[in-house]
Amino acid sequence: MLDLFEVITTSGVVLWSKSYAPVKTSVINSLISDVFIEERTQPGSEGKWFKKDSYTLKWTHAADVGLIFVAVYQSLLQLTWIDELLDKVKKLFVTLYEHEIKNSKGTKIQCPFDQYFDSIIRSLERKAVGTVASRPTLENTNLGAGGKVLKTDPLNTEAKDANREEDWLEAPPMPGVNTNASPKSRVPVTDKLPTDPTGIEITSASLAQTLLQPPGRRPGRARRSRKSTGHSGGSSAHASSGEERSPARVNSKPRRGKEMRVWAEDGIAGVAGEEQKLDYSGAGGISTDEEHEESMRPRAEAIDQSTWGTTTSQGDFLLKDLDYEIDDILKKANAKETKEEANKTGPSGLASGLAAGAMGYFRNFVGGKTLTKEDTEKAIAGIMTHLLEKNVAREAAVQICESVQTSLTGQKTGSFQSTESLVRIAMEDALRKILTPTTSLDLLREIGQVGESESRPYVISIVGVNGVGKSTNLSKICFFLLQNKLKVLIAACDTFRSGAVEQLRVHARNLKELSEREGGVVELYEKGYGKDAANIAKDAVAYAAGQQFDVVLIDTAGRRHNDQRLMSSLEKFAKFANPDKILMVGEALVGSDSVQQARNFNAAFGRDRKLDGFIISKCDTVGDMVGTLISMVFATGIPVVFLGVGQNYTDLRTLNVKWAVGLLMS
Amino acid sequence: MASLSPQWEFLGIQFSLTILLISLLVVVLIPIVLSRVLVASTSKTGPSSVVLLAGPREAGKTSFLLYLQEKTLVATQTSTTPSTVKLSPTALESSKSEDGDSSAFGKPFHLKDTPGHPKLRSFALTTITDPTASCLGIVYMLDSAAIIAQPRLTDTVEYLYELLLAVQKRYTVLSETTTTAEPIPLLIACNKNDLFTALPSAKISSQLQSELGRMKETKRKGLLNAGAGENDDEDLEQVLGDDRSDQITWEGLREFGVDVSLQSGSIKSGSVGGWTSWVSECLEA
Ligand SMILES: Nc1nc2c(ncn2[C@@H]2O[C@H](COP(=O)(O)OP(=O)(O)OP(=O)(O)O)[C@@H](O)[C@H]2O)c(=O)[nH]1
Ligand SMILES: [Mg+2]
Repeated sequence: MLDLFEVITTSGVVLWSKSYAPVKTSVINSLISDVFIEERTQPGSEGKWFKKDSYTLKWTHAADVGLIFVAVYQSLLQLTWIDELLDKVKKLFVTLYEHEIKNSKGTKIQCPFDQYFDSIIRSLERKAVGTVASRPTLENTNLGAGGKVLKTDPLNTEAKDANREEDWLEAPPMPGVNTNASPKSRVPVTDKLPTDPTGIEITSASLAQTLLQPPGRRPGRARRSRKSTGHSGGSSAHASSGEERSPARVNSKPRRGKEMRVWAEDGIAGVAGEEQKLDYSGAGGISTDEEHEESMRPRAEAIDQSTWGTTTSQGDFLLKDLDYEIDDILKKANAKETKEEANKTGPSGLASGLAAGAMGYFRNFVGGKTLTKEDTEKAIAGIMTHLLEKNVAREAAVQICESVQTSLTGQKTGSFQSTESLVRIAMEDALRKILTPTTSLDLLREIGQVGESESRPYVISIVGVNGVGKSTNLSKICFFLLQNKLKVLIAACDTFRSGAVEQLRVHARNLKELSEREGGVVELYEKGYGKDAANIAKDAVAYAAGQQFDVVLIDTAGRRHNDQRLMSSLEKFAKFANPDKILMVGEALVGSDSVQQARNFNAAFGRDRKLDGFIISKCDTVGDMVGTLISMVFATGIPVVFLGVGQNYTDLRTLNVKWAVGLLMS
Repeated sequence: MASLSPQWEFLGIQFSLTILLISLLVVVLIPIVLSRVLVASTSKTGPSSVVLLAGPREAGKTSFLLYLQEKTLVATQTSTTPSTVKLSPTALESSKSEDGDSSAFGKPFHLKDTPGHPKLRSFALTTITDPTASCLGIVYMLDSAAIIAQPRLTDTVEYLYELLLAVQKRYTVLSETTTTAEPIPLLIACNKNDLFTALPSAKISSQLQSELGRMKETKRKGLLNAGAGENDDEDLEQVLGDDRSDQITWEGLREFGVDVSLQSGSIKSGSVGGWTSWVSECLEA
């Protein structure tokens, strides 16, 4: 079952929350930092869910009011109705409190939402029972000959049992609910009944017969129900729904007349109109297709009116009123949505269309226009072409543009601000956000800290594909460290390519000469060719610790990122050498598969080790290297630590985010 | 009528100067009025008196803002957008005041809460550097318990460094144009001292100063930025404080446009008196 549900403003205030079990705040915090801020979606999730500790999190945004709705539940459970829950709660919450939220400017508001939420949860669970396992429940019930009497005793006793096991959702007392729900809102539903053309008369007797038939004999039932189970998330959903079902039953004591509507809609309706019901579940387990639900409704009523009808307690009565109010609000919200859809395709009335058009025209250049997705379409397309021209990978460009567009939808333009300039500003922000590192990249400081607090050398290893400039960049870093009077050991762990060790030897000799008067010390640690690189690296680190070196720089063999065998040896390497920083050298060349390289190297060090940064080489030869650069960072979330800008030892730079964004947008 | 204003006849229609003027006025005014009406309250012109709330993640910035309104610790999550709230000075009093008398005291002020995530720090930094926003003071909030761990300390100091540098830049610009550039007051609010692992404020103060000094040193020794010197006006690397030594002291920063003070407190246990009186002073100055 659900562990926690929160409604949060983007400014960080928890407006409303309901917790069924204690969940640490860090769970939702990591969703916000990882997915919303750093835009790192978990593999396979496609941005639809997020797993943390033993929890799964799902969410939805209401961008126009700046709200986030998050549901947290145990990953073991496969709750199929979470998406619908989020959607319904969002619509309801926004409709109820839109005004207050907009006035409060992102701070706390009073929102007595508990009972609405409980009611939504109940109806969803009842529906889940209806789609997944309504049959056994119904077969247990005792239908009288007239179909009028429903014995509730077996239900109730069972419900009590269930309650003892799972007391997370006792039917709560509902004092003083429904102060807003006018009786009017309930009327139309019943009024519709007689005039409804689609209403099918099903006699209670035939219904009873249908219900009492053993499962096997119903044609096509077994196969179809299996199908619907599959849709609702596999058999474990089925299993767990055993518990989930019970509370629904607690609340589904027979009620009078119209009150049966929801109950029936969820469970019996499906049975009565078998075909429709199965379509309905086929459309995604518990369908979120409200219109379909709408069309199902009258038929369901035809049944309950004639079949079920007993008394109810005062508490239940209030409960149902709330349900009606919720239904009403949701219906209106949906209607509004469809109306907006319709408006987009064509103006409804000429006069109103003209007026709206004129207003929109003014707002275009005066400002104060609330942006829709369509408004930004053109500007976004323009900026996308621009990004592609700057060699940003298509995949990255599309995703960045999408997230910018979503962030803009629902926003108002400032006075005399055009859509284009707003899109541009938003894009700059997005690019800056991508390039800004989340941790400190101050290498010197870290080296100092490690030396001071742990008195051990700081280990940096350099990886990358062949010929990308690993050794050159390593020497540049070494030169920079030497200038800061550090004692550096270079470990030659490329035991593969002949000439690699000799190349490093030359570099080491040069560096020694250059740095002699600066006060730095450099030494080369080499063990020839053919030996295991991981072991040499380990020995080098041990040697450096013994000789009081400040830094160990490890050069590794270049490897193709799709060479399984060589890539897999990196995991052992990372374990043995245990570097503080693993840096990947990548080329900024257009058309090189640097993004894929970045991805593969990032995944090569095992589950708990990732790359720590990129060194982008040959920036001097490539005009538009920023495009490649942003694609790499975007794909992996790994920051750029250094840029190589030339052939000299001094040609190493750090990335200036502002400058890079400027280059991209120019 | 005709005697009061000259008239012309054109294509048989009479024009009076008054009518002409009025219509001209209308033409000029319509867009302005329209923009006022349409844009209404959402105009981007910043509020006049802002106290900025900045600091690393999870420090309690949002909690502090909400505490001033609700007088209790309200549940929060990581912020992703800033929020500016208009408060009356009565919000700074220890108990929740009645709604009615809020207008009776002093001028209202704005408190701007900003996200602490490293990727979102530009919200706070631009508030400082933006020449149009008048920033009355800055509350830099930190977690006095978490600061024991090295990565958290680094993060806290790095953000503080950037913030101080932004203040310094603003001050340099201001003192070039005006003669009366006052240093901005900055309060380092050491939150969560209800936790038994919390460091005392004196210790935090000395640690921050020495860490800032070290950061200055490595920044100075560090590599050049790519693109530095290409457009050499503003992007030229600037170091915090004077360039004669790597030492950073709160007193030394005064001449670089920031007046630092430091106070411990806790939102959870409601001991925020030091901070609120600091804000009051800030408003009066
Ligand atoms: N023990 C203790 N916890 C506190 C105190 N103040 C705030 N917290 C908790 O610290 C956590 C973070 O508080 P927030 O106000 O969200 O922090 P923030 O600075 O806004 O963080 P970001 O929005 O991520 O920048 C919350 O869980 C608070 O409950 C305090 O005085 N003592
Ligand atoms: Mg916050």
